[in-house]
Amino acid sequence: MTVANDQFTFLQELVYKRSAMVLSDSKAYLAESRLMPLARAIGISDTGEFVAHVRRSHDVKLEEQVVEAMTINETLWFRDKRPFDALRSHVLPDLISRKASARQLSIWSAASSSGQELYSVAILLEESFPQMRDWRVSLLGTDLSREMVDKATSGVYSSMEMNRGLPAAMLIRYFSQSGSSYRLTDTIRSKVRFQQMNLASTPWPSLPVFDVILLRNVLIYFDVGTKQRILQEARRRLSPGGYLLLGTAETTSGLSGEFETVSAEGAVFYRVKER
Amino acid sequence: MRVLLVDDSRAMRSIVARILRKIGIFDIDEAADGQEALDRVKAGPVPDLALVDWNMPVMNGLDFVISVRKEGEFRSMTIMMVTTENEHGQIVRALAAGAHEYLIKPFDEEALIDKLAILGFVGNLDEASSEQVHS
Amino acid sequence: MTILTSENIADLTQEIWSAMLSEHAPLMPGDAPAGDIQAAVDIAGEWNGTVGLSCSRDAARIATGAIFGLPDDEITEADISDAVGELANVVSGNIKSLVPGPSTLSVPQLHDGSWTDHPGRLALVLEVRFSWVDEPVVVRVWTDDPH
Ligand SMILES: C[S@@+](CC[C@H](N)C(=O)[O-])C[C@H]1O[C@@H](n2cnc3c(N)ncnc32)[C@H](O)[C@@H]1O
Repeated sequence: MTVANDQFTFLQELVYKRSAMVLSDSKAYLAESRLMPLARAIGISDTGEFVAHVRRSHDVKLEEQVVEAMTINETLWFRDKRPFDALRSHVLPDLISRKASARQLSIWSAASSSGQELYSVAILLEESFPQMRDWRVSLLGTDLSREMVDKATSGVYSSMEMNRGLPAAMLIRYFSQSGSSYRLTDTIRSKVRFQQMNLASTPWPSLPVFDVILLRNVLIYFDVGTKQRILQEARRRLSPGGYLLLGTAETTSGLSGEFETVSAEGAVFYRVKER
Repeated sequence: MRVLLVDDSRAMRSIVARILRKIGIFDIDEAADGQEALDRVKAGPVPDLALVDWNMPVMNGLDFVISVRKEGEFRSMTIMMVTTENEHGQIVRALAAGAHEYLIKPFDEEALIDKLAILGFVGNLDEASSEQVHS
Repeated sequence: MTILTSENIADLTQEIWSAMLSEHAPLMPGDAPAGDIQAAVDIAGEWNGTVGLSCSRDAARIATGAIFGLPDDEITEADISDAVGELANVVSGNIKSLVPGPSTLSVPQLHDGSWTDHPGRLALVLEVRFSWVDEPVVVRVWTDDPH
Protein backbone atom coordinates (compact mmCIF):
# COMPACT_ATOMS: atom_id res chain seq x y z
CA MET A 1 0.00 0.00 0.00
CA THR A 2 1.25 3.49 -0.77
CA VAL A 3 -0.02 6.96 0.06
CA ALA A 4 -3.69 7.06 -0.94
CA ASN A 5 -5.55 10.15 -2.13
CA ASP A 6 -7.29 11.01 1.13
CA GLN A 7 -3.99 10.48 2.93
CA PHE A 8 -2.31 13.00 0.66
CA THR A 9 -5.12 15.42 1.50
CA PHE A 10 -4.29 14.86 5.17
CA LEU A 11 -0.62 15.62 4.41
CA GLN A 12 -1.60 18.79 2.53
CA GLU A 13 -3.65 19.95 5.50
CA LEU A 14 -0.91 19.12 7.96
CA VAL A 15 1.72 20.99 5.94
CA TYR A 16 -0.63 23.96 5.54
CA LYS A 17 -1.46 24.07 9.23
CA ARG A 18 2.16 24.09 10.33
CA SER A 19 3.94 26.03 7.58
CA ALA A 20 1.22 27.70 5.47
CA MET A 21 2.78 26.03 2.45
CA VAL A 22 0.32 24.92 -0.17
CA LEU A 23 1.41 21.50 -1.36
CA SER A 24 0.05 21.07 -4.86
CA ASP A 25 -1.50 17.78 -5.94
CA SER A 26 1.36 17.37 -8.38
CA LYS A 27 3.65 16.83 -5.38
CA ALA A 28 1.85 13.61 -4.39
CA TYR A 29 4.63 11.54 -5.96
CA LEU A 30 7.07 13.10 -3.50
CA ALA A 31 5.27 11.71 -0.46
CA GLU A 32 6.44 8.16 -1.10
CA SER A 33 10.20 8.79 -1.31
CA ARG A 34 10.27 11.58 1.27
CA LEU A 35 8.33 9.72 3.96
CA MET A 36 9.94 6.31 3.52
CA PRO A 37 13.03 7.10 5.66
CA LEU A 38 10.80 8.42 8.48
CA ALA A 39 8.59 5.35 8.29
CA ARG A 40 11.56 3.00 8.42
CA ALA A 41 13.03 4.89 11.36
CA ILE A 42 10.05 3.89 13.49
CA GLY A 43 9.89 0.38 12.09
CA ILE A 44 7.09 0.83 9.56
CA SER A 45 7.88 -0.45 6.09
CA ASP A 46 4.92 1.03 4.26
CA THR A 47 4.33 4.76 3.74
CA GLY A 48 0.53 4.39 3.65
CA GLU A 49 0.61 2.71 7.01
CA PHE A 50 3.00 5.40 8.24
CA VAL A 51 0.67 8.25 7.28
CA ALA A 52 -2.20 6.43 9.00
CA HIS A 53 -0.01 6.18 12.09
CA VAL A 54 0.82 9.92 12.02
CA ARG A 55 -2.86 10.68 11.67
CA ARG A 56 -3.83 8.56 14.67
CA SER A 57 -0.97 9.49 16.95
CA HIS A 58 -1.27 13.32 16.96
CA ASP A 59 2.42 13.26 17.84
CA VAL A 60 3.58 16.85 17.37
CA LYS A 61 7.23 15.90 17.01
CA LEU A 62 6.39 13.38 14.31
CA GLU A 63 4.12 15.87 12.53
CA GLU A 64 6.97 18.34 12.50
CA GLN A 65 9.25 15.74 10.92
CA VAL A 66 6.65 14.98 8.28
CA VAL A 67 6.34 18.66 7.39
CA GLU A 68 10.13 18.99 7.20
CA ALA A 69 10.32 15.93 4.97
CA MET A 70 7.69 17.34 2.60
CA THR A 71 9.37 20.76 2.39
CA ILE A 72 11.53 21.89 -0.49
CA ASN A 73 14.77 23.17 1.01
CA GLU A 74 16.67 23.59 -2.20
CA THR A 75 19.14 26.43 -2.06
CA LEU A 76 22.55 27.30 -3.39
CA TRP A 77 25.44 29.71 -3.10
CA PHE A 78 24.97 33.14 -4.71
CA ARG A 79 21.64 31.97 -6.10
CA ASP A 80 20.79 33.67 -9.42
CA LYS A 81 24.09 35.60 -9.17
CA ARG A 82 22.65 38.95 -10.31
CA PRO A 83 21.08 39.95 -6.97
CA PHE A 84 24.51 39.46 -5.40
CA ASP A 85 26.15 41.55 -8.14
CA ALA A 86 23.58 44.24 -7.38
CA LEU A 87 24.26 44.02 -3.64
CA ARG A 88 27.95 44.52 -4.37
CA SER A 89 27.69 47.34 -6.88
CA HIS A 90 24.59 49.28 -5.75
CA VAL A 91 22.75 48.26 -2.62
CA LEU A 92 25.65 47.95 -0.19
CA PRO A 93 27.51 51.05 -1.43
CA ASP A 94 24.26 53.01 -1.02
CA LEU A 95 23.70 51.69 2.50
CA ILE A 96 27.33 52.29 3.43
CA SER A 97 27.20 55.91 2.42
CA ARG A 98 23.89 56.48 4.19
CA LYS A 99 24.93 54.71 7.36
CA ALA A 100 28.49 55.94 7.50
CA SER A 101 28.04 57.69 10.82
CA ALA A 102 26.13 54.91 12.60
CA ARG A 103 28.45 52.27 11.14
CA GLN A 104 25.80 49.60 11.59
CA LEU A 105 24.21 47.30 9.09
CA SER A 106 21.72 44.48 9.49
CA ILE A 107 20.71 41.85 6.98
CA TRP A 108 18.10 39.12 7.34
CA SER A 109 17.68 35.95 5.30
CA ALA A 110 14.06 35.18 6.13
CA ALA A 111 13.85 31.61 4.83
CA SER A 112 17.47 30.68 5.13
CA SER A 113 17.20 26.91 4.57
CA SER A 114 20.68 25.39 5.04
CA GLY A 115 22.34 28.81 5.17
CA GLN A 116 23.98 29.27 1.76
CA GLU A 117 22.09 32.51 1.09
CA LEU A 118 23.18 34.27 4.28
CA TYR A 119 26.71 32.90 4.11
CA SER A 120 26.96 34.13 0.52
CA VAL A 121 26.21 37.62 1.83
CA ALA A 122 28.78 37.19 4.61
CA ILE A 123 31.43 36.07 2.12
CA LEU A 124 30.55 38.94 -0.22
CA LEU A 125 30.98 41.45 2.62
CA GLU A 126 34.32 39.91 3.54
CA GLU A 127 35.53 39.90 -0.08
CA SER A 128 34.32 43.26 -1.32
CA PHE A 129 33.86 45.54 1.69
CA PRO A 130 36.98 45.31 3.84
CA GLN A 131 36.24 48.87 5.00
CA MET A 132 33.28 47.46 6.96
CA ARG A 133 35.37 45.23 9.20
CA ASP A 134 34.93 47.63 12.11
CA TRP A 135 31.19 48.14 11.53
CA ARG A 136 28.57 46.42 13.62
CA VAL A 137 27.15 44.04 11.08
CA SER A 138 24.34 41.76 12.11
CA LEU A 139 23.50 38.83 9.84
CA LEU A 140 20.44 36.82 10.83
CA GLY A 141 18.99 33.74 9.17
CA THR A 142 15.64 32.19 10.11
CA ASP A 143 13.76 29.16 8.89
CA LEU A 144 10.77 27.13 9.93
CA SER A 145 12.77 23.93 9.90
CA ARG A 146 14.74 23.16 13.03
CA GLU A 147 16.84 20.71 11.04
CA MET A 148 17.79 23.42 8.52
CA VAL A 149 18.58 25.90 11.28
CA ASP A 150 20.93 23.35 12.86
CA LYS A 151 22.56 22.54 9.57
CA ALA A 152 23.04 26.21 8.73
CA THR A 153 24.54 26.85 12.16
CA SER A 154 27.03 23.99 11.71
CA GLY A 155 28.35 25.55 8.49
CA VAL A 156 29.31 22.11 7.13
CA TYR A 157 28.49 21.22 3.53
CA SER A 158 28.86 18.18 1.30
CA SER A 159 30.67 18.31 -2.03
CA MET A 160 27.31 18.20 -3.83
CA GLU A 161 26.32 21.38 -1.98
CA MET A 162 29.69 23.00 -2.60
CA ASN A 163 29.26 22.33 -6.33
CA ARG A 164 26.16 24.51 -6.47
CA GLY A 165 27.26 28.00 -7.36
CA LEU A 166 30.26 28.49 -5.09
CA PRO A 167 33.33 29.80 -6.94
CA ALA A 168 36.33 27.51 -6.30
CA ALA A 169 38.44 30.47 -5.24
CA MET A 170 36.00 31.11 -2.38
CA LEU A 171 35.93 27.44 -1.47
CA ILE A 172 39.67 27.45 -0.89
CA ARG A 173 39.64 30.75 0.96
CA TYR A 174 36.69 30.28 3.30
CA PHE A 175 36.41 26.52 3.86
CA SER A 176 38.51 23.76 5.32
CA GLN A 177 38.27 20.02 4.95
CA SER A 178 36.16 18.18 7.49
CA GLY A 179 36.22 14.50 6.58
CA SER A 180 34.52 14.27 3.23
CA SER A 181 32.76 17.60 3.87
CA TYR A 182 33.79 21.24 3.98
CA ARG A 183 33.47 23.56 6.89
CA LEU A 184 33.20 27.32 6.79
CA THR A 185 35.97 29.15 8.59
CA ASP A 186 35.17 30.61 11.99
CA THR A 187 35.71 34.14 10.65
CA ILE A 188 32.59 33.72 8.53
CA ARG A 189 30.63 31.48 10.89
CA SER A 190 31.05 33.85 13.80
CA LYS A 191 29.42 36.68 11.83
CA VAL A 192 26.04 35.00 11.37
CA ARG A 193 23.26 33.69 13.56
CA PHE A 194 20.41 31.34 12.72
CA GLN A 195 17.17 30.74 14.56
CA GLN A 196 13.83 29.11 14.06
CA MET A 197 10.88 31.25 13.00
CA ASN A 198 7.59 30.63 11.24
CA LEU A 199 6.98 33.45 8.75
CA ALA A 200 3.32 32.51 8.46
CA SER A 201 2.49 33.02 12.10
CA THR A 202 1.75 36.71 12.14
CA PRO A 203 2.19 39.09 13.83
CA TRP A 204 5.88 38.27 13.99
CA PRO A 205 7.72 38.26 17.30
CA SER A 206 9.63 41.41 18.08
CA LEU A 207 12.45 41.76 15.62
CA PRO A 208 14.84 44.62 15.00
CA VAL A 209 14.62 46.48 11.69
CA PHE A 210 16.81 45.40 8.80
CA ASP A 211 18.58 47.27 6.04
CA VAL A 212 18.24 44.31 3.69
CA ILE A 213 15.66 41.53 3.89
CA LEU A 214 16.14 38.51 1.66
CA LEU A 215 12.76 36.83 1.36
CA ARG A 216 13.50 34.51 -1.51
CA ASN A 217 11.87 31.42 -2.94
CA VAL A 218 9.45 30.96 -0.10
CA LEU A 219 6.45 33.20 -0.97
CA ILE A 220 5.85 30.95 -3.98
CA TYR A 221 4.68 28.20 -1.62
CA PHE A 222 2.04 30.36 0.08
CA ASP A 223 -1.48 31.39 -0.84
CA VAL A 224 -2.34 35.02 -1.57
CA GLY A 225 -3.56 35.85 1.94
CA THR A 226 -0.41 34.51 3.55
CA LYS A 227 1.80 36.33 1.04
CA GLN A 228 0.01 39.60 1.84
CA ARG A 229 0.35 39.20 5.58
CA ILE A 230 4.04 38.34 5.26
CA LEU A 231 4.80 41.29 2.99
CA GLN A 232 3.03 43.61 5.39
CA GLU A 233 5.11 42.33 8.27
CA ALA A 234 8.31 42.54 6.20
CA ARG A 235 7.52 46.14 5.30
CA ARG A 236 7.40 47.04 8.99
CA ARG A 237 10.81 45.43 9.56
CA LEU A 238 12.56 47.39 6.82
CA SER A 239 14.69 50.31 7.97
CA PRO A 240 14.04 53.66 6.22
CA GLY A 241 15.61 53.28 2.80
CA GLY A 242 16.04 49.54 3.32
CA TYR A 243 15.86 46.95 0.55
CA LEU A 244 13.67 43.87 0.18
CA LEU A 245 14.77 41.15 -2.20
CA LEU A 246 12.42 38.42 -3.44
CA GLY A 247 13.06 35.31 -5.52
CA THR A 248 13.16 35.57 -9.32
CA ALA A 249 9.66 34.16 -9.65
CA GLU A 250 8.21 36.38 -6.91
CA THR A 251 6.80 39.90 -6.84
CA THR A 252 4.90 42.28 -4.56
CA SER A 253 2.59 43.36 -7.34
CA GLY A 254 -1.01 42.47 -6.73
CA LEU A 255 -0.12 41.78 -3.10
CA SER A 256 1.00 45.07 -1.66
CA GLY A 257 0.86 48.62 -2.93
CA GLU A 258 3.44 49.88 -0.51
CA PHE A 259 6.60 48.98 -2.39
CA GLU A 260 8.38 50.44 -5.37
CA THR A 261 11.01 48.67 -7.40
CA VAL A 262 14.65 49.55 -8.00
CA SER A 263 16.65 47.64 -10.60
CA ALA A 264 20.37 47.14 -10.69
CA GLU A 265 22.51 44.62 -12.56
CA GLY A 266 19.33 43.06 -13.87
CA ALA A 267 18.06 42.30 -10.38
CA VAL A 268 14.94 43.84 -8.86
CA PHE A 269 14.82 45.13 -5.30
CA TYR A 270 11.82 46.55 -3.45
CA ARG A 271 11.78 49.63 -1.25
CA VAL A 272 8.99 51.18 0.74
CA LYS A 273 7.30 53.96 -1.25
CA GLU A 274 7.81 57.43 0.14
CA ARG A 275 4.61 59.20 1.00
CA MET B 1 32.07 28.59 -28.12
CA ARG B 2 34.35 25.57 -28.32
CA VAL B 3 34.75 23.07 -25.49
CA LEU B 4 37.33 20.32 -25.03
CA LEU B 5 36.29 17.42 -22.77
CA VAL B 6 39.24 15.61 -21.25
CA ASP B 7 38.31 12.40 -19.44
CA ASP B 8 39.40 8.79 -19.86
CA SER B 9 35.82 7.67 -19.39
CA ARG B 10 33.69 7.85 -22.53
CA ALA B 11 30.69 7.58 -20.22
CA MET B 12 31.62 10.77 -18.38
CA ARG B 13 32.37 12.62 -21.63
CA SER B 14 28.99 11.55 -22.89
CA ILE B 15 27.20 12.82 -19.77
CA VAL B 16 28.92 16.21 -19.97
CA ALA B 17 28.46 16.54 -23.73
CA ARG B 18 24.75 15.89 -23.39
CA ILE B 19 24.35 18.67 -20.81
CA LEU B 20 26.37 21.07 -22.97
CA ARG B 21 24.26 20.35 -26.04
CA LYS B 22 21.13 20.86 -24.00
CA ILE B 23 22.19 24.43 -23.23
CA GLY B 24 23.18 25.11 -26.80
CA ILE B 25 26.89 24.32 -26.83
CA PHE B 26 27.57 22.05 -29.79
CA ASP B 27 31.22 22.63 -30.67
CA ILE B 28 32.61 19.87 -28.48
CA ASP B 29 35.88 18.02 -28.88
CA GLU B 30 37.08 15.12 -26.74
CA ALA B 31 40.39 13.73 -25.49
CA ALA B 32 40.96 10.61 -23.37
CA ASP B 33 44.03 11.77 -21.44
CA GLY B 34 46.18 14.81 -20.73
CA GLN B 35 48.67 14.12 -23.50
CA GLU B 36 45.97 13.78 -26.11
CA ALA B 37 44.41 17.00 -24.84
CA LEU B 38 47.74 18.81 -25.01
CA ASP B 39 48.25 17.67 -28.61
CA ARG B 40 44.74 18.76 -29.46
CA VAL B 41 45.21 22.22 -27.97
CA LYS B 42 48.55 22.69 -29.72
CA ALA B 43 47.14 21.62 -33.07
CA GLY B 44 44.35 24.19 -32.61
CA PRO B 45 41.91 25.74 -32.77
CA VAL B 46 42.36 26.49 -29.08
CA PRO B 47 39.15 25.72 -27.17
CA ASP B 48 37.51 28.46 -25.12
CA LEU B 49 36.98 26.03 -22.28
CA ALA B 50 38.59 22.74 -21.26
CA LEU B 51 36.82 20.47 -18.75
CA VAL B 52 39.50 18.24 -17.30
CA ASP B 53 39.40 15.06 -15.22
CA TRP B 54 42.25 14.53 -12.74
CA ASN B 55 43.01 10.79 -12.79
CA MET B 56 43.79 9.66 -16.31
CA PRO B 57 46.38 7.34 -17.85
CA VAL B 58 49.44 8.70 -19.76
CA MET B 59 49.17 12.27 -18.44
CA ASN B 60 46.89 13.26 -15.60
CA GLY B 61 44.76 16.38 -15.54
CA LEU B 62 46.94 18.37 -13.17
CA ASP B 63 50.01 17.77 -15.35
CA PHE B 64 47.97 18.83 -18.37
CA VAL B 65 47.08 22.11 -16.65
CA ILE B 66 50.72 22.68 -15.68
CA SER B 67 51.97 21.91 -19.22
CA VAL B 68 49.38 23.98 -21.01
CA ARG B 69 49.92 26.96 -18.72
CA LYS B 70 53.64 26.91 -19.57
CA GLU B 71 52.68 27.92 -23.09
CA GLY B 72 51.64 31.53 -22.88
CA GLU B 73 49.59 31.45 -26.07
CA PHE B 74 46.90 29.25 -24.51
CA ARG B 75 46.19 31.65 -21.68
CA SER B 76 42.86 32.57 -23.22
CA MET B 77 41.64 29.02 -22.59
CA THR B 78 39.51 28.67 -19.46
CA ILE B 79 40.10 25.45 -17.53
CA MET B 80 37.75 23.71 -15.11
CA MET B 81 38.71 20.49 -13.34
CA VAL B 82 35.87 17.94 -13.23
CA THR B 83 36.95 15.13 -10.96
CA THR B 84 36.20 12.88 -7.99
CA GLU B 85 39.33 14.27 -6.33
CA ASN B 86 37.79 16.51 -3.73
CA GLU B 87 40.30 17.43 -1.08
CA HIS B 88 40.76 21.06 -0.20
CA GLY B 89 44.51 20.75 -0.82
CA GLN B 90 43.96 19.37 -4.29
CA ILE B 91 41.61 22.19 -5.22
CA VAL B 92 44.30 24.61 -4.04
CA ARG B 93 46.90 22.84 -6.23
CA ALA B 94 44.69 22.84 -9.30
CA LEU B 95 43.90 26.55 -8.99
CA ALA B 96 47.54 27.37 -8.31
CA ALA B 97 48.51 25.46 -11.47
CA GLY B 98 46.14 27.63 -13.49
CA ALA B 99 42.70 26.04 -13.44
CA HIS B 100 39.89 28.60 -12.98
CA GLU B 101 37.15 26.43 -11.58
CA TYR B 102 36.60 23.07 -9.98
CA LEU B 103 33.60 20.74 -10.14
CA ILE B 104 33.47 17.65 -7.96
CA LYS B 105 32.02 14.36 -9.24
CA PRO B 106 29.26 13.43 -8.92
CA PHE B 107 27.55 16.60 -10.05
CA ASP B 108 24.12 17.20 -11.49
CA GLU B 109 23.16 19.20 -14.53
CA GLU B 110 22.38 22.35 -12.54
CA ALA B 111 25.78 22.28 -10.85
CA LEU B 112 27.61 22.20 -14.19
CA ILE B 113 25.45 25.03 -15.50
CA ASP B 114 26.05 27.06 -12.30
CA LYS B 115 29.79 26.70 -12.83
CA LEU B 116 29.57 27.71 -16.50
CA ALA B 117 27.68 30.78 -15.30
CA ILE B 118 30.41 31.62 -12.79
CA LEU B 119 32.89 31.41 -15.67
CA GLY B 120 30.69 33.71 -17.74
CA PHE B 121 29.85 31.15 -20.42
CA VAL B 122 26.15 30.92 -19.66
CA GLY B 123 24.49 34.28 -19.93
CA ASN B 124 21.11 34.56 -18.38
CA LEU B 125 21.00 33.12 -14.92
CA ASP B 126 17.33 33.14 -14.18
CA GLU B 127 16.33 29.60 -13.47
CA ALA B 128 13.55 29.77 -15.97
CA SER B 129 15.86 30.67 -18.81
CA SER B 130 19.24 29.07 -18.24
CA GLU B 131 19.09 28.16 -21.92
CA GLN B 132 20.67 31.37 -23.18
CA VAL B 133 24.33 31.13 -23.99
CA HIS B 134 27.04 33.59 -24.93
CA SER B 135 28.60 32.77 -28.23
CA MET C 1 38.10 11.84 10.06
CA THR C 2 34.85 10.30 8.88
CA ILE C 3 34.60 6.57 9.23
CA LEU C 4 33.60 4.05 6.66
CA THR C 5 30.08 2.89 7.47
CA SER C 6 27.32 1.24 5.47
CA GLU C 7 25.27 4.36 6.02
CA ASN C 8 27.92 6.69 4.57
CA ILE C 9 28.35 4.42 1.58
CA ALA C 10 24.60 4.17 1.05
CA ASP C 11 24.30 7.98 1.14
CA LEU C 12 27.08 8.66 -1.29
CA THR C 13 26.07 5.90 -3.71
CA GLN C 14 22.48 7.18 -3.75
CA GLU C 15 23.75 10.69 -4.38
CA ILE C 16 25.88 9.47 -7.29
CA TRP C 17 22.96 7.58 -8.77
CA SER C 18 20.65 10.54 -8.62
CA ALA C 19 23.28 12.84 -10.13
CA MET C 20 24.40 10.52 -12.94
CA LEU C 21 21.17 8.65 -13.64
CA SER C 22 18.66 11.36 -12.82
CA GLU C 23 16.05 10.26 -15.33
CA HIS C 24 15.43 7.01 -13.48
CA ALA C 25 13.88 6.31 -10.08
CA PRO C 26 16.34 6.71 -7.17
CA LEU C 27 18.53 3.92 -5.84
CA MET C 28 16.76 2.31 -2.88
CA PRO C 29 17.97 0.01 -0.13
CA GLY C 30 17.70 -3.60 -1.28
CA ASP C 31 18.57 -7.11 -0.26
CA ALA C 32 19.55 -9.12 -3.33
CA PRO C 33 23.19 -10.28 -2.97
CA ALA C 34 25.36 -10.12 -6.09
CA GLY C 35 25.11 -9.14 -9.70
CA ASP C 36 26.57 -10.36 -12.96
CA ILE C 37 29.11 -7.63 -13.48
CA GLN C 38 31.53 -5.98 -11.11
CA ALA C 39 33.88 -3.06 -11.62
CA ALA C 40 36.60 -2.75 -8.98
CA VAL C 41 38.88 0.16 -8.17
CA ASP C 42 41.91 -0.04 -5.87
CA ILE C 43 42.66 2.70 -3.39
CA ALA C 44 46.37 2.78 -2.54
CA GLY C 45 48.32 4.99 -0.17
CA GLU C 46 47.78 5.81 3.47
CA TRP C 47 44.78 3.47 3.36
CA ASN C 48 44.69 0.41 1.10
CA GLY C 49 41.65 -1.38 -0.17
CA THR C 50 39.39 -2.12 -3.07
CA VAL C 51 35.91 -0.86 -3.88
CA GLY C 52 33.65 -3.03 -6.01
CA LEU C 53 30.45 -1.96 -7.67
CA SER C 54 28.39 -4.84 -8.94
CA CYS C 55 25.02 -5.10 -10.57
CA SER C 56 22.89 -7.30 -12.75
CA ARG C 57 23.37 -7.30 -16.51
CA ASP C 58 19.98 -5.60 -16.93
CA ALA C 59 20.85 -2.84 -14.47
CA ALA C 60 24.13 -2.34 -16.30
CA ARG C 61 22.36 -2.06 -19.66
CA ILE C 62 19.80 0.41 -18.34
CA ALA C 63 22.50 2.55 -16.72
CA THR C 64 24.62 2.42 -19.88
CA GLY C 65 21.69 3.40 -22.06
CA ALA C 66 20.93 6.36 -19.81
CA ILE C 67 24.53 7.53 -19.60
CA PHE C 68 25.25 7.30 -23.33
CA GLY C 69 21.74 8.24 -24.39
CA LEU C 70 21.54 5.07 -26.49
CA PRO C 71 18.63 2.73 -27.24
CA ASP C 72 19.13 -0.75 -25.81
CA ASP C 73 19.91 -2.42 -29.15
CA GLU C 74 22.81 -0.07 -29.83
CA ILE C 75 24.64 -0.69 -26.56
CA THR C 76 27.97 -2.53 -26.91
CA GLU C 77 29.99 -4.49 -24.35
CA ALA C 78 32.56 -1.70 -24.41
CA ASP C 79 29.88 0.85 -23.52
CA ILE C 80 28.78 -1.28 -20.56
CA SER C 81 32.33 -1.67 -19.24
CA ASP C 82 32.94 2.03 -19.60
CA ALA C 83 29.68 3.09 -17.92
CA VAL C 84 29.88 0.64 -15.00
CA GLY C 85 33.59 1.43 -14.69
CA GLU C 86 32.89 5.15 -14.40
CA LEU C 87 30.14 4.62 -11.83
CA ALA C 88 32.64 2.51 -9.83
CA ASN C 89 35.25 5.22 -10.27
CA VAL C 90 33.00 7.94 -8.88
CA VAL C 91 31.85 5.70 -6.00
CA SER C 92 35.47 4.89 -5.10
CA GLY C 93 36.55 8.48 -5.44
CA ASN C 94 33.95 9.45 -2.89
CA ILE C 95 34.82 6.54 -0.61
CA LYS C 96 38.46 7.61 -0.83
CA SER C 97 37.51 10.84 0.89
CA LEU C 98 36.09 8.86 3.83
CA VAL C 99 39.36 7.06 4.58
CA PRO C 100 42.71 8.46 5.72
CA GLY C 101 44.69 10.00 2.84
CA PRO C 102 46.63 10.72 0.79
CA SER C 103 45.92 7.91 -1.60
CA THR C 104 45.35 7.32 -5.29
CA LEU C 105 42.76 5.42 -7.34
CA SER C 106 43.46 2.76 -9.94
CA VAL C 107 41.55 2.56 -13.20
CA PRO C 108 38.44 0.38 -12.89
CA GLN C 109 38.87 -3.36 -13.53
CA LEU C 110 35.91 -5.35 -14.80
CA HIS C 111 35.22 -8.73 -13.16
CA ASP C 112 32.37 -11.12 -12.97
CA GLY C 113 29.94 -10.20 -10.22
CA SER C 114 30.36 -13.14 -7.90
CA TRP C 115 33.98 -12.11 -7.35
CA THR C 116 33.73 -11.75 -3.58
CA ASP C 117 37.19 -13.14 -2.73
CA HIS C 118 39.71 -10.43 -3.25
CA PRO C 119 42.82 -11.83 -4.94
CA GLY C 120 45.08 -9.78 -2.68
CA ARG C 121 43.49 -11.50 0.33
CA LEU C 122 42.08 -8.31 1.71
CA ALA C 123 39.06 -8.89 3.92
CA LEU C 124 35.57 -7.99 2.75
CA VAL C 125 34.54 -5.46 5.40
CA LEU C 126 31.39 -3.92 3.99
CA GLU C 127 28.69 -4.89 1.58
CA VAL C 128 25.83 -2.48 0.90
CA ARG C 129 22.90 -3.75 -1.14
CA PHE C 130 20.55 -1.63 -3.20
CA SER C 131 17.68 -2.09 -5.53
CA TRP C 132 17.41 0.01 -8.67
CA VAL C 133 14.81 -0.38 -11.43
CA ASP C 134 13.99 -3.68 -9.66
CA GLU C 135 17.53 -4.91 -10.22
CA PRO C 136 20.29 -5.55 -7.67
CA VAL C 137 23.20 -3.13 -7.20
CA VAL C 138 25.87 -3.85 -4.58
CA VAL C 139 28.86 -1.89 -3.30
CA ARG C 140 31.63 -3.85 -1.59
CA VAL C 141 34.70 -2.69 0.25
CA TRP C 142 37.75 -4.86 0.94
CA THR C 143 40.62 -3.72 3.08
CA ASP C 144 43.46 -4.92 5.29
CA ASP C 145 42.74 -2.03 7.63
CA PRO C 146 40.86 -3.41 10.65
CA HIS C 147 39.01 -0.08 11.30
C1 LIG D 1 13.35 26.76 -1.41
S1 LIG D 1 14.00 27.21 0.17
C2 LIG D 1 14.65 28.82 -0.18
C3 LIG D 1 15.98 29.07 0.51
C4 LIG D 1 16.66 30.38 0.18
N1 LIG D 1 15.92 31.54 0.62
C5 LIG D 1 16.93 30.48 -1.31
O1 LIG D 1 16.28 31.27 -1.98
O2 LIG D 1 17.80 29.77 -1.82
C6 LIG D 1 12.51 27.50 1.11
C7 LIG D 1 12.69 27.50 2.61
O3 LIG D 1 11.56 28.10 3.22
C8 LIG D 1 11.34 27.47 4.44
N2 LIG D 1 9.93 27.71 4.86
C9 LIG D 1 8.82 27.17 4.36
N3 LIG D 1 7.72 27.62 5.02
C10 LIG D 1 8.19 28.48 5.95
C11 LIG D 1 7.55 29.26 6.96
N4 LIG D 1 6.22 29.23 7.12
N5 LIG D 1 8.33 30.02 7.75
C12 LIG D 1 9.68 30.05 7.60
N6 LIG D 1 10.34 29.32 6.67
C13 LIG D 1 9.59 28.55 5.86
C14 LIG D 1 11.64 26.03 4.18
O4 LIG D 1 11.94 25.33 5.39
C15 LIG D 1 12.84 26.13 3.23
O5 LIG D 1 14.05 26.04 3.92
